[in-house]
Amino acid sequence: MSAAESVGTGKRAFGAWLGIGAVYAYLYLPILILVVFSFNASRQMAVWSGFSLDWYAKAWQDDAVIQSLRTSLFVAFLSTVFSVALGTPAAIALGRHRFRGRGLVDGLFYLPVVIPEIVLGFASVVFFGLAGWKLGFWSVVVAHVAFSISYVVFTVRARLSMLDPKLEEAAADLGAPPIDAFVRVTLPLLAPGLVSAALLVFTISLDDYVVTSFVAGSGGTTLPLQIYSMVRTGVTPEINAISTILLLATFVLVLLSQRYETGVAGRGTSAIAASVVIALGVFSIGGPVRDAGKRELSVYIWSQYLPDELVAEFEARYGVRVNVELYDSNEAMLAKLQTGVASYDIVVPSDYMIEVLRQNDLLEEIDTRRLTNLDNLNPRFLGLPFDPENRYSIPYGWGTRGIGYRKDLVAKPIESWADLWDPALRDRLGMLNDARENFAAALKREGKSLNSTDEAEIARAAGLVEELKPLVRTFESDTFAENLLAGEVWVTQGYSGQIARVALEDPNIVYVIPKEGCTLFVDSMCIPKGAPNEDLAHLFIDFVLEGRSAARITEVMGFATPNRASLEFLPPEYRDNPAIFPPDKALDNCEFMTDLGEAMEIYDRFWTRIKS
Amino acid sequence: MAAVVAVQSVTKRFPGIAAVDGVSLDIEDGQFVTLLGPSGCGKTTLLRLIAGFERPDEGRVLFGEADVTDVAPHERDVHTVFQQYALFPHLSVADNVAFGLRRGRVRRSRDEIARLVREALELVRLTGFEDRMPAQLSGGQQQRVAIARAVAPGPRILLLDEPLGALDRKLREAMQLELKQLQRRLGISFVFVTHDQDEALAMSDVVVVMKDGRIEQMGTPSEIYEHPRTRFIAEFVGVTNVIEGSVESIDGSTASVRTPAGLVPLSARANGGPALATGDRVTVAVRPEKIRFADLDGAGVIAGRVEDARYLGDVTHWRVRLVDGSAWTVFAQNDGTPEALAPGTEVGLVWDTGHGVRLEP
Ligand SMILES: Nc1ncnc2c1ncn2[C@@H]1O[C@H](COP(=O)(O)OP(=O)(O)OP(=O)(O)O)[C@@H](O)[C@H]1O
Ligand SMILES: [Mg+2]
Repeated sequence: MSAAESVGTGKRAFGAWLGIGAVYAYLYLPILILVVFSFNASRQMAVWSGFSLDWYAKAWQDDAVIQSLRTSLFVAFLSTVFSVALGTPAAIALGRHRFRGRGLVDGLFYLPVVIPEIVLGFASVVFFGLAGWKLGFWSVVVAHVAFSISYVVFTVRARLSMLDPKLEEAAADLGAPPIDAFVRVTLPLLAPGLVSAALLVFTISLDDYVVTSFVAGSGGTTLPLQIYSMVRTGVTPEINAISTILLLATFVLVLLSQRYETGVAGRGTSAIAASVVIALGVFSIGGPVRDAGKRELSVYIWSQYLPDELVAEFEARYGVRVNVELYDSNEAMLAKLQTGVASYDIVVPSDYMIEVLRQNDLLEEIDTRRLTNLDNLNPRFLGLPFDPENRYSIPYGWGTRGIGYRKDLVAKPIESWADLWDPALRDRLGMLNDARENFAAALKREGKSLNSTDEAEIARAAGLVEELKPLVRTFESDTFAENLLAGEVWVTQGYSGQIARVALEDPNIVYVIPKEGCTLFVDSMCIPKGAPNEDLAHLFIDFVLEGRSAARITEVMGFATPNRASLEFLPPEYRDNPAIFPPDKALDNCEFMTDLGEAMEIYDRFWTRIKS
Repeated sequence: MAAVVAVQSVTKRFPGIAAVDGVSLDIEDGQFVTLLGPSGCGKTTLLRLIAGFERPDEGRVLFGEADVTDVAPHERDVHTVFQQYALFPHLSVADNVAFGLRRGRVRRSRDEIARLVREALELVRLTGFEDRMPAQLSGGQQQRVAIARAVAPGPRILLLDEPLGALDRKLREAMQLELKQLQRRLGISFVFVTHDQDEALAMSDVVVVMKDGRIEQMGTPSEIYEHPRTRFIAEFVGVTNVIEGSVESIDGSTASVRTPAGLVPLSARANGGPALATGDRVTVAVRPEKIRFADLDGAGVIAGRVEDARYLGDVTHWRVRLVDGSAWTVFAQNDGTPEALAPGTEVGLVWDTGHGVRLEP
């Protein structure tokens, strides 16, 4: 507050306040909105329809969220203990002793704070790869400790420099041997610094996304990873609720940390800190590991793809534990498999990625003789171009990326990609935030293949996309369905599954595959090279192929299943929903996306120009 | 009787400087020894060598018969009162004082510790302050806690590094007296560091004057004051007037020294140096209070012109410009003799032969 007080009086003070106010508003208004809407009864952002704690209840009952929260707390707890235990002696050595190369060592401790996190994350993965260490829970802890130590060293050194070295001499003078002097004098005086460092590190570990996303493996899905993967498939107020709790925890911890740092912490502060730590500790005792000792199947899959109840059922039936880890892009999954640091039994890549994985020799062959339910699949989805003999992949789910629109807000039904180029849609159009998909819309409109590698065709398509740009309100791959539901956009390019889900909530929403066709995608189950439990993997694939399982996936997740046998288990609003199961004819002009190789550069070049 | 502490030809070098340079010093039991010298002369370093915080590069440190040169500080039977007190801020007054009692070679019971803490606090008149934290004390009180803490375990020697430096004048003088009384009562040796000459003279049995890491002179306060060996000491301890000249004649035990301001008397054996001979160059120092005004034509009188007077109540400080241009100071008691000398008045200055001190060149 003293800074604010010294600003002065009169007009200048008013100006300063205004400036400060603007900065704070910019910083905190979005967060405030997020917090407010976590209490919103409606699932629509931007429309307030009454106070409710439902989203908190929902988050609390969401096993995946709770499990990831436990993991986060446990990771944070361990990283805190280790980094304080290692960082404190380092800080004392650097602060109290002179030795050759001290400057260098000193500098090395500052580095992790200024190195971009993404570099740290990547370096960590490479390190674990070289060390032959599998990614998992402990790799997250190790990485967190690595970057947290710097913060401990800073904080403790700052405290140490305020500490009169004469005090240690006084202790020795009065007969205290070095260890006694350290324990009785140095340590108690450093304690506020240590507590402050611990709280800081706990917070940083709790909040870290970037590094964690690189080094997390089986059992290492922390809350930020969970939140991020949930965001990818649509923001719900449940995420607002979780974020609010995370924010609150961070806020409290940072506040406590500051009070300790500045030495204003009294008994009360200590009591709060202690109870927070105990509460978190009790909660995290659930720990990251359930049912230790059981065999474990590791599934690495898109977020929002595998219903918890199916996981539970599979676990119960075979007496095993299923470890689900989530990714949000094919490329992220590829990176994990390529570095060879993680071991999974099942991955679920998209069509084109299967080709890439095969080229990199990252897939195990699937023994189809062991799959008793293979006949349940619609033959239409067998022998697809990316794996003609189904030696490596068994289809899991499919969908299209067509157009969703609100029939109450547009003048006439949308049937063609060309309908997007309508000036009436100015600022009311949503497009996916992806180069290929934008060009697909334009190429398809022109009757070309969406896998075109012809530079002239691509250039023409780029011109069309450029024309579209003034109409586009958002380029968005995560929240397009919510935007449509909220009426923020009237027409949007998007995934059939997500639009189908919001269409069930609001009958004004329609999903259509344009008559020129659009992207068709199939995600398939594969067994990565070196899967430790290849037999369980086959059992799991066969389990998913059961009609009832497939029906549950469609019902909960909203996208189509290639499973014929599932139809009898599906309620009519799903089974007969053309948004989910479009008529065969509509798919005639649809195409799979293929890996374009070098031609991708052409797309990227135009896309960069368009987006700038 | 062996000295409690014997420092033998100790040298301690820091990069670029010999902070203590070939110092030898014996401290007798029960002595109040003061290390006096200008800032940076090595007082603290010498103290730290005795406490064991520094290891000498050359020489030995003995406690009684025992060589402690290689003994760690926590195993030495000396305690220190630090320059800035260095009280443990997280411990109460009582716990600060008990710190040394709970450690060291002697095992003490809880009751005994409590009793010794009480006694130590009584000694420094801080009874009732047991539960205060150091931050809740005034500077003088902190000072006393530091002393109580250091004396409580009953060391043979107490080292005090400018313990009064941070106190205001009044408190300082009161504490000087208290410290001296405390030392007498405890009957242990104090090694006391100061750069305040009045403090050194008032309190010590032995004053050790240091300069540039060496001992310049060592002796009782009056020896140091009345018979400074060098010009440095004469000027550092008290105020002095100095004049140079050459011996013109010797008459028995008194020499006549020809100076630019006139002929002055000097004891031929002054300061126990070698006997003087005619023609020797000498530096003569005279303390201001030893000088009287006199008629210009008397024997042993030098001439000057009054420049300035500072009336201080009990005394007046006169500044007199000699004919050779140097400024002398004369202290005159305001004892009734009317001496209202206007600036510019020519005066003669005279002193008893025995009060002229011959300084080493
Ligand atoms: N740890 C050290 N490293 C380097 N030089 C030092 C160190 N300690 C003291 N010195 C140097 O040694 C010399 C003597 O220092 P010391 O502290 O003993 O002086 P002092 O007489 O106590 O002075 P003061 O009256 O200012 O306290 C000084 O020149 C000082 O700069
Ligand atoms: Mg000193």
